[in-house]
Amino acid sequence: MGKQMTLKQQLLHSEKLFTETGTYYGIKELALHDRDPLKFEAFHSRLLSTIISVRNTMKFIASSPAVRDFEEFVIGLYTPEGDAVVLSTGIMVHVHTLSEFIKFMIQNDYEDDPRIRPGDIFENNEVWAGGVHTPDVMTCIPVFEGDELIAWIGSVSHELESGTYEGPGMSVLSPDRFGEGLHISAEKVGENDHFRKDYLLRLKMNLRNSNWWSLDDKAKLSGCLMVREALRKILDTFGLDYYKQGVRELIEEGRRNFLKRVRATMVPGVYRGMTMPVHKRTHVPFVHPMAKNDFIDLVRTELTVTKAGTLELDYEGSTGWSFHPFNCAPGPMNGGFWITLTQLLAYDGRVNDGAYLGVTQFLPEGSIVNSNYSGTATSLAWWTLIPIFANIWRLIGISWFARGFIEEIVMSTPTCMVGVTGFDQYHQPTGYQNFEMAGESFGARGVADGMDCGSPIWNSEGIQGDAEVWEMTGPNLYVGRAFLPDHHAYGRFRGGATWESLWMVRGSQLVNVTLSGAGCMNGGVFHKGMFGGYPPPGWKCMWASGTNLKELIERGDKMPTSVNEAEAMLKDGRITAREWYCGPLNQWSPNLKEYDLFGIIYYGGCGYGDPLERDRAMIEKDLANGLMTEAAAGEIYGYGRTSQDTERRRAEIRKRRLQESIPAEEWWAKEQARARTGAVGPIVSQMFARSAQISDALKQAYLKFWKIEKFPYTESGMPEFQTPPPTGFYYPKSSSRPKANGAAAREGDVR
Amino acid sequence: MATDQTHVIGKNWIALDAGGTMTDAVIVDSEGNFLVGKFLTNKEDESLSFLGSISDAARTANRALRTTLRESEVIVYAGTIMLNTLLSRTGAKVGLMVTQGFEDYLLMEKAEGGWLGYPYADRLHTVTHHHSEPTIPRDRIVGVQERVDMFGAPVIPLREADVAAKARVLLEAGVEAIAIMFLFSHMNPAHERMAAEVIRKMSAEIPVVVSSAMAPTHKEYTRLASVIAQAYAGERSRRHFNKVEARARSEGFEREVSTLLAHGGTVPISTPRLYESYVSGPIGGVLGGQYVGELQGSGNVVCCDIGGTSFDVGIIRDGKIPISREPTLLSFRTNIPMIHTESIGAGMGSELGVHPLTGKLTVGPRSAGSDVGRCLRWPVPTVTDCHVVLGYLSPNYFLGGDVPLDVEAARAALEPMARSFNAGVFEFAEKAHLLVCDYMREFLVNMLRGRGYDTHEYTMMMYGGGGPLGLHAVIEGLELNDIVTFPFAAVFSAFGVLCAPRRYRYHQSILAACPPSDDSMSREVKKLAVESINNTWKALEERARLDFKQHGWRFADARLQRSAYVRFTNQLSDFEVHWPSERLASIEDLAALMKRFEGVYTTIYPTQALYSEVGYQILEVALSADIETPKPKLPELALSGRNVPSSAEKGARKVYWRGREIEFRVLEMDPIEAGNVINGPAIVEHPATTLLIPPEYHVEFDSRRLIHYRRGAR
Repeated sequence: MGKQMTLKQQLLHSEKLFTETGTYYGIKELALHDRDPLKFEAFHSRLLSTIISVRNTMKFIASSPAVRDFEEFVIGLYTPEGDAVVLSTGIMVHVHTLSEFIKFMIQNDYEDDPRIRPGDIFENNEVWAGGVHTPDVMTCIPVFEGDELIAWIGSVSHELESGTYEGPGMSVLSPDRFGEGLHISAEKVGENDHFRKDYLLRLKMNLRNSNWWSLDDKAKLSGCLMVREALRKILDTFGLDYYKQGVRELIEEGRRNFLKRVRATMVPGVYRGMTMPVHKRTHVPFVHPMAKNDFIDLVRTELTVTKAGTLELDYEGSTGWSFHPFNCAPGPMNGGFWITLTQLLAYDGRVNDGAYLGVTQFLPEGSIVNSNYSGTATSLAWWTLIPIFANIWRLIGISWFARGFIEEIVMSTPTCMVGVTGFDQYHQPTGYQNFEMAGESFGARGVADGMDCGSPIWNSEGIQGDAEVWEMTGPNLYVGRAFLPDHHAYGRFRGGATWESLWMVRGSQLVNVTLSGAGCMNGGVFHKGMFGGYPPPGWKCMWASGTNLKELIERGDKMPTSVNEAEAMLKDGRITAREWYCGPLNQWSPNLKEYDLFGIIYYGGCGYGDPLERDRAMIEKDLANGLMTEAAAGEIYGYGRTSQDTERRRAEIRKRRLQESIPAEEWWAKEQARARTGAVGPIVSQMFARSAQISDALKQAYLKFWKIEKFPYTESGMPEFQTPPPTGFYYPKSSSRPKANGAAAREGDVR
Repeated sequence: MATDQTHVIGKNWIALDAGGTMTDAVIVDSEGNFLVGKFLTNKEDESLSFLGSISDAARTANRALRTTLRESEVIVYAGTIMLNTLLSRTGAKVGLMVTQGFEDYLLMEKAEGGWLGYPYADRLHTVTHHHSEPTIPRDRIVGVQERVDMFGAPVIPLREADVAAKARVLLEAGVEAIAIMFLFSHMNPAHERMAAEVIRKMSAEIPVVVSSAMAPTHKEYTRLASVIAQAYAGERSRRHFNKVEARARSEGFEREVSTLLAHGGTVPISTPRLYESYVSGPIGGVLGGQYVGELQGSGNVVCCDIGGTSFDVGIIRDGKIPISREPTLLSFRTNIPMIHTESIGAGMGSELGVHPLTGKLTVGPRSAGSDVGRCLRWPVPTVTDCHVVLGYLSPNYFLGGDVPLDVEAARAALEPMARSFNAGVFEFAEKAHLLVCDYMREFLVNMLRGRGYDTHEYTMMMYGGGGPLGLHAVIEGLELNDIVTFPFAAVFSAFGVLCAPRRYRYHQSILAACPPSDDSMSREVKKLAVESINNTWKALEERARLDFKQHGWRFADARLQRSAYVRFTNQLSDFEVHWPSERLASIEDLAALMKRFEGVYTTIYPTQALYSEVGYQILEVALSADIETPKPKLPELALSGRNVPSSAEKGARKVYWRGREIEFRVLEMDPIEAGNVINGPAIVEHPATTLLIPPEYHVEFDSRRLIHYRRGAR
């Protein structure tokens, strides 16, 4: 396309071509590829190796453990219209969020004001401009050849602190965007390859520890500049024309390869699932009145695999957005899908926005997956994304099973986390999330147990980090970091084992902690397990203020090393505390000081297959490693010391199961009566009503399944008010599946 | 094996580099002349391949093994003993004592143990991740109640009774050694020392290894990996080394056998920290590159090793070899200081394939190793098959003709692949070769660029069995200061081992800061930093003095190199900064050290990455104590004129080159003399390697018989 077009014209042209032809940029033939496939391969390899090597170099500039040690860092090359061409490893969430950021600037006429010029630096963490949440900060520079903008280079890092009300980078309790910290709303923050002083001062004044953000910014900018430099040499080798056509062909090739992979491994059809994370906040003493409620966010997911190999994700029937930081929007939903794409479907290093073109997400406006309130908070969108995509991993697993790719099946894990806020051992204000959660155990696989201490759904390169690094980050001293026996999801292949950390406050007289889980700990189950595998057991956290630990230490008494041990000691009086909590509810502790305690468990993913089919040798290995007790192994797996004992116990359990079972028709008839009257707890009832407020999809499914006429749920428990969507600027949008092309019209709809 | 230099054996120095497939030996006499030999590595009993390789080298000068060994002063054996002990799980029965509450650490492997060392695709592909079986079973791991904080202050005291009770459990389990790792022991080793003392009182004969005495640096997982490596494999490896030494002595050698440590120093095998002999990359070549660079007056050298399985690169800057502080040891990162090299899994034996979904050409990561390719006995076509088809390699002169290669089998295997790329078999074979070399070029260029260096500042040294063959394609389009390869390229790494000095290297964590301002409080902080750095250097010198004493080396002869690791405040990574004097004399010296840091930093990163306004932190210092040793001399020979002797001529053969068959002159390597010039197209054959000289290039053998590769005809 010629220089005469503005970026906006180029973007619209590209979108039009895709709509009209169904291929990226209307490309029918991969001419460069077909002419010389090995040269094309060399071109791609040159771009990719540049991106990967720059990322590995630039991360040493950073200051966040999240960036250097936790791989929460990605860099990519984009077309002038903002489509991803090649990407490094790292937080794959951001492949398309950067795209949306670039498109946001183009669509909002940044070319005219504030202008896009060589040497400019743009930054964003704004959900309306494609971002996920405030701690994920994107830095982006344009690349020019003469007067022509030929590429963008963008990079994202996750910041441990972003100026939230509570302190850590992600807010758990903020009702709206006004508590979720510093927003950089797609802004020009630098010129002539340097950050502007006013921007750096803004960071200083709005963050508790601006050095982290500033150094990470420097890392990202340096990386972008290094890629820009390398790109010049690539242009020297291949020429500008080859480059411009080559990057577009790479995206179209990425699209085709994605479709091929889906066709080769999945079964066309519709796959349905539901997630219901429960959020309880009424017990938290210090919470905004608008956020002081308990509720369930229901997300209804329908995954359609078409015969052509495209994927469609439809969330019709989900509940609405609300005054909490767990809301999603197209940015977070795209991010969530990218982690799925790169871990399950396109992990060979060739993924780019071509794969994105093979996927359509239908996000009903005003729902939890597409909040349209201008003041919406997404600080912890992950507490919604994790359940949704855990479910989608499961649905993909079912499809693989049907096709025989059992060894590809892997299930995810709920995320739990600790935030620390106050004053640190260096007498400085601090606020951060301890990212050891990046070493959570994951769920069972189709052919093996989940990994104990593995990786969360949001980052395949799982890493727990050194305790010594976290002790230097904040005023906490580990007194234990170990597995919790018997606390895994049971199955023929079990979920990765739960592990936990317990800390004592050290070096601070004024610090508090937020302890939270991805909506899972309060009773909502979304990591369901597969084919008889169990969900993981419950969640727990603890804190204790004003403890006698100092005396305990002086006396040489046994110190607690786990959450359960601390709880037992608090209960029997060996540990005394002014106040304490140990249980499964979100917590914002009171102020803690030297010798106070806090702890959390990070539980593993779900199980696969009937526990009674678990191999004895695997059980015995768990016993030897202290991951199970013999009593639990007997109860859950029917384990006995000999194979005969085991068989006998298993037979007994099977018999007991039969005795406890009733025919499905009987169960249905009994439950139908309940379903008719809506005899469920208040937050469940409200959840159904909230779903029906914005869509009748779930309501109709409910009526159809229970064969009843009237939907019994009417009270949403939410205040009634009007919220206009933002106006006056372009932002990424999505909506429900168009009714005209409804379910019946879908290709591959072969229920 | 043929000789490469004139050979007068006096008092010899011998180096061996044992790889997974071959053990290479180089024997250097007091005149600096050398002989080379090769022998298939015997993993069950390395003493056999050790002797076999020396024998092979000695035979080239018609020397008997016994005479050679009797006349030898030093033998350095570098290689895989440590690694094999770990891989084969044949280490000692070790008990582990850790801080209470951390007993599951070996099962956890910091989570990253599940994917560390994986290629890009598998790092993303979560379902492939898994933990390794721990070297120490869970029932031999005990925790004792204790804690030291990040400043080194004891928080929870260690009690003798607790240690004794837990140690008893280990002793009753029949452990052969006990490893101890407590949190922040690098900031205060008192608890670890006390625990060791208690255990020694209980059992004097059980070796106790404490993490603070190995490498007292930050990050407990790295200290844990190191202390286990020493306890589990260090002493067990010593037995293997002792066996090698006994075998050498039985054949007439009268001294101690030495080994190469990961940081590039050699020490006798009686060294207390034998775990440092764990080497993960081909570091011998980098040492050789540094030495040849010195001879040539080039301080900036990029060392490239093309083997069968991988391509390895090491970078020497201003004559100094960079040290990596967290190399991976199987599925753990350790804190063994190691010469920094990086690799990709593409070598001349790499398998070629077509991706079933994308239709792309895939290279590696599997390699045929000594089975070569379809042309010998590997079921899948490899890059070497392309070389045979193209005529680069003579099917009748592989390993000197010992192993005939089947050209037709190679062609038959490549043809279907070529068809899937719409190419003829020659065209495909050439492009596949070029693509593999492209990967290598991109890799090394990115490595240089990632450090802020330009290729034109660098001399490339290319070696490894595949080096001289890949050279022409790897350098395509690169501007380099000079390009050098060697007649003995295939054993250059063993040659490099002989270039290593006697050396110990020490690292120690500290806490020191250099604030940006100059007020009185800041000056106090800076004074404390100067004091802390100086005291730590002094303490490390004391450690060196003790180690030197054990080997009877004169500490006064040592060349000491001191360095500090500096970062901007809050930064997580730091950079080694050398300090040329004995101590920091003042806070002005500290400021000068910070300036040096910024110099190092801005070589790598753009100036936008500087953050001087927040000040600096120094969290680790290091000391290297070296004694220089005789090195192979590479003597300067009289130049014989441009023309190669007729004894080198082997005729000509057809080679497929850029779309057509052309005739390449064929020569034998050994008879070629200093001063000879060979214009391309030509192929120079050696039993262990093949040098390809394209049209429009020539090579020149300089007075040391180093081969300079240059554009144009001469």
